[in-house]
Amino acid sequence: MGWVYLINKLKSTLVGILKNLEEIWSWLVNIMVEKMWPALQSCKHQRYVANNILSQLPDDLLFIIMSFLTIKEAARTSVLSHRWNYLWRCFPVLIFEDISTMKRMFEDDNSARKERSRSNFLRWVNQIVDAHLGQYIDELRVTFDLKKRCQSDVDKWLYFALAKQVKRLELDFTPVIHQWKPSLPKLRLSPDQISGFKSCLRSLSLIHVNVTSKDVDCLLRSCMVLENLCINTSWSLRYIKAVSLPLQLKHLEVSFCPRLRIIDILAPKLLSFAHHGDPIELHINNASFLSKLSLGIKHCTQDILAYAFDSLSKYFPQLVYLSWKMQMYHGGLLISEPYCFEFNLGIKNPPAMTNLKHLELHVFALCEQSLLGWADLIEASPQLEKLTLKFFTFDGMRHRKIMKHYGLPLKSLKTLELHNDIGLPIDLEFITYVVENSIVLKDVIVELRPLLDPLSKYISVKDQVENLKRIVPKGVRLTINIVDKWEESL
Amino acid sequence: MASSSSSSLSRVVVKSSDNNLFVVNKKVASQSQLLKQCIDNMEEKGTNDVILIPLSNVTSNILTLVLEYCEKHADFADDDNNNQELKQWDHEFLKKFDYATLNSLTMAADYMVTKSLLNLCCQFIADSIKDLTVQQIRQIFDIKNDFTPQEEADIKNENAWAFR
Repeated sequence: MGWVYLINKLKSTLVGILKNLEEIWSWLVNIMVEKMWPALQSCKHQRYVANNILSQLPDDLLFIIMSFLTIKEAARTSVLSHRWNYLWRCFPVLIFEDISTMKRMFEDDNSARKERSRSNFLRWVNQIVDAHLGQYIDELRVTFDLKKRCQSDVDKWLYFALAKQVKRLELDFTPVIHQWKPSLPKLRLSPDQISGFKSCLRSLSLIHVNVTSKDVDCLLRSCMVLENLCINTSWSLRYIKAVSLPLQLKHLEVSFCPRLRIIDILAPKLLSFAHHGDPIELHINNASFLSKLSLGIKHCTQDILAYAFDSLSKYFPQLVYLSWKMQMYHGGLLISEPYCFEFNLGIKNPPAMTNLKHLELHVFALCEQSLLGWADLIEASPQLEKLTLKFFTFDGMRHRKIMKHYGLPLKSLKTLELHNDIGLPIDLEFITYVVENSIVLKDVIVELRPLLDPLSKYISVKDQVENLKRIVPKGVRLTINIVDKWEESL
Repeated sequence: MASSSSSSLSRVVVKSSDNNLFVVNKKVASQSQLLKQCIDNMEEKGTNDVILIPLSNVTSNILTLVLEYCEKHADFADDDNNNQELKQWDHEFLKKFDYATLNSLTMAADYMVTKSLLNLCCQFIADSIKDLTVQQIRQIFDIKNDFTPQEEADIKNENAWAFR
């Protein structure tokens, strides 16, 4: 008994001493703190009381959480409580797209039903835009097949974007079925209105929206923080000229503008540039950081290729990434129409690309043509580590002789990536050239698409795979994914 | 480091709201912009002593977690951000916690201005909200339904497209 009592007594005394020590310690610490950090005791601290539940997170944190949700998922939170309903109506990332309806419209020929889908979409966007309570929005993106008669809705969204000082704006009205000259909505804003985007707009994409040269002029002159501009398929754009003042742009894409004749810009901050379409007068000035270039021409012949090299020649040595999109024949899709093509197309005497790491070729060709003409371009890039070939065809010649090409050794190439119609003589010939001349090749990655009718009757996926397995050497890792998606050729 | 003069600190002491002290390596502490700011300020003043930074809103169990995260990320600071191993670690790290801890961690990350941890937590919470029904979200996150049945029906009707 005595012992136990003594031990307990000792214990409680010790605990008492420790407690005192702890108090003295925390008192000392607090004095130190007050002396050193008077400022830290203020403002932001007060709202963080110990709590555990989501409903007590402050609005700005709930906004960050919501920003990881899609618009649909975010809208569902509106029924949680008054507070969440309010948060939803201030939601700053408005992305309107409806891929499943677009897909249905693609498959359905009934124009009345298409029109109904369109008005449903418009109603959806307008309802959310009308109910929006937030002061600002970070992003507005509308992606749907919309026509000229939706102009008043498009105007309304643009005014909305302006009023909410949007940072990223994207309008993509690409029709589900390709048309030669579609009736497009336009960017209907006055110069004064455009300059309202002056200090907010960082990124602007207008795809299948008619933009005039004057609009672009005004945008480039007034929007001082604009870093990213993409204009795709505008029939009103004839030129982009900005040589008097240096632009802030880091990324510029101008594609498929049939009337475009001139691009002449002073862009010292430009990192990437893309132009797809017919040759134009092209002057990109002072772009000393330009490292990514993407070019493409529908009907490709040797003369046309030369234009790109002439107008951009000074930038080729500094490029890290280069992409070419090519359709390598003239003529219609009908077999009866005469083809016009060069058998072995590529680029002769290309400039040295001493920094190029990744080359991407999108090629649409006939199976009797040859891709070996690209060897010169590949060999002009001694640092090349990754080569991507996206190949598309509509004729499937099952047998043809495979030519051997002995070129320079590809000293740095590690990865060969192949997409779409792979496993036919034309690409097998090209792949053979690459694997046989590579020294350090590690990976061949294939995204294989089953051939379309009627080619699939003659060549099955199994054949495509077997053909590949036969030519890729043992030491190289071969990864084949079979994808069932339709990717546009150009 | 060549530039480290007498005023350069290698360690700081951080105090939690329940008065526990943590000795933290400067590189680890720099993962938090708040701590980094404090260190920079002291270095500017030319202080030579070990500095003590009190965080009156972060308890020691949460601070331990934040520092564990900072330590791991400081190790990878020189690598690129797309490091797969680090991503895997991040995911495993968050998976262990209940929602209460996750919320406290989110607030601590915001308060200590550790942006990558803040985004990580928010993404994690958002991902878990995605698959839940309205009832489940209310229950798990203790959100009080302050709508009348009529109001709730109206709002659901207004956003009917989202519930299809």
